[in-house]
Amino acid sequence: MLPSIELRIQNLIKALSQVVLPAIDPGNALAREQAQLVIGHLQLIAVQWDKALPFEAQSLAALRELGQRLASAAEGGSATVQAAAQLREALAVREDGAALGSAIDSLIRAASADGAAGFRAQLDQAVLEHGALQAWRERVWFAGNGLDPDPSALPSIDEMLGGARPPRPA
Amino acid sequence: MEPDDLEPRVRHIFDRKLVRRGTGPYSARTDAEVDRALRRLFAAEGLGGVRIEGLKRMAGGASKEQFAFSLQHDAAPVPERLVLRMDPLESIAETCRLREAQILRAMRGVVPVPRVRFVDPEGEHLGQPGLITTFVSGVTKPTDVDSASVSGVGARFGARWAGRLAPQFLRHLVAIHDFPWRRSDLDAFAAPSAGTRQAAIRQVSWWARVWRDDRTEPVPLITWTECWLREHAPICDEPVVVHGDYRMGNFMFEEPSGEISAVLDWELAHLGDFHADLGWATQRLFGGWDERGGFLVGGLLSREAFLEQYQKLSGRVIDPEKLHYYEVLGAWKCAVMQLGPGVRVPLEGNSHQDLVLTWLASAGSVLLADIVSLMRRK
Repeated sequence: MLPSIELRIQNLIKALSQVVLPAIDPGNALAREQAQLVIGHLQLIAVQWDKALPFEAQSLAALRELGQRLASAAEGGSATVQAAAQLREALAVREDGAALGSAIDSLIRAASADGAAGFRAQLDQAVLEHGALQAWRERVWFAGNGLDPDPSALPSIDEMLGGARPPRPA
Repeated sequence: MEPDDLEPRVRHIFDRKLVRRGTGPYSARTDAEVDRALRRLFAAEGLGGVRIEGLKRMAGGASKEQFAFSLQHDAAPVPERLVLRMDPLESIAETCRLREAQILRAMRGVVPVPRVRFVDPEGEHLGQPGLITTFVSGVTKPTDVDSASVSGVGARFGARWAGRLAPQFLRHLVAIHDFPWRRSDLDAFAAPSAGTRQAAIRQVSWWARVWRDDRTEPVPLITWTECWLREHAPICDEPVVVHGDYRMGNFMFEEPSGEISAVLDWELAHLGDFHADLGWATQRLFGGWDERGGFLVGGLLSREAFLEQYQKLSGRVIDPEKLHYYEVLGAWKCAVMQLGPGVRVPLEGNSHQDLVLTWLASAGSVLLADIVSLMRRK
């Protein structure tokens, strides 16, 4: 049997924690901090690596949903109309998240210039809803970094990928 | 075309960054390289009989490389302990050592700050832009409190320390805002016009430029927030010195007295609205929590107490609308920093702290969540 990715990450963490880190001069603060961060990154990677594909797929799906909401509601002056047309073109390409995101950005800026009031209200709502969901998903993804101010409120990565949703704001 | 009202010196720093970007990747400087760089600078300054001893890299410094050393020369026979703050090739906060030197000199006697000894704004002698100040003793977090953190983010103070530090934290912030800056040599700064929206717009333009230069993928919420900030920019009645990064981790204090020995990290200082420092200090990312889960500004005191005491000490009246605006701006700036250069700089390999930057960037979504919360609270 070949050594698995999980096993090798586990080996790396053990070697760094038990051999390399204790051997670093306590006076070398940069080297010690870097070693600790390598261990931290490996611990994060250990719980993320085999879930990266579904995580990215869900992120792209959420972005497409935002793009569709905006493209179908867009109304306003020439800048908004033109940006909405470009967004529809980007939505036709299924896997290009960067191009889709750029097209959404352009429509947000265009709406700020000449979007109809009704559309702008819908855009505000849609972007905030997408932002809230995506920020929550990314907080779950990186909860292991210890930097989240409210980690106890977050589900596991598996629960999130399984369809769990953030609590509704009060 | 979007408005791009940047201070001239800030624009120069960003233009310079893009020119230098392609010359990477960057490696952390060795002690020997720093020793040689210092000798070049001191020779250019005309110092004779230079002795550099005890050169040692300092802990922390996600943004700049920092080294402590002792300097002795013919005109100063008694060794003086100094600190070199030097830019890596690119930084999570691309800023100006000349501005930092000017504001440190201006703040001398106003709040505790290190003395500026030398500055090499373009890195003519050091190889990278750098600033040398006196060494200040103290700690940024109590040694008797467990507060493991990266770059001061997430550190916590206990109640005993908070009782000693909070009054000083407030008093120094008020002193910074009260400082009569028009009488100082701050020619690397461009003051916004009083009674206009320029103070806010310039800050939005600063960080919009960072996002435009450094983003690796679009984030709709960041673009949307930029538009909101431009549309809702408030009038600044009277520009003051804004520290720009007033939070835990950016001041040192003595143990056991708890006396603040230095207010540090002035690299984001600018002339602007006093609400900017309040909106920054109250960010969740820079705070802590008490035993009952209540939020503490700077890990020291409640938001309500912080704002109430600031008003009482300063005589200024906090405008809730402006405070909300600057809280949004603060969260957006942090998100831009962490998701822009926080990813771009390690991608280019252009920092001495690539690992720290990606670690901090992994908390970028906390700031995005904060932006949403702030907008829904409105």
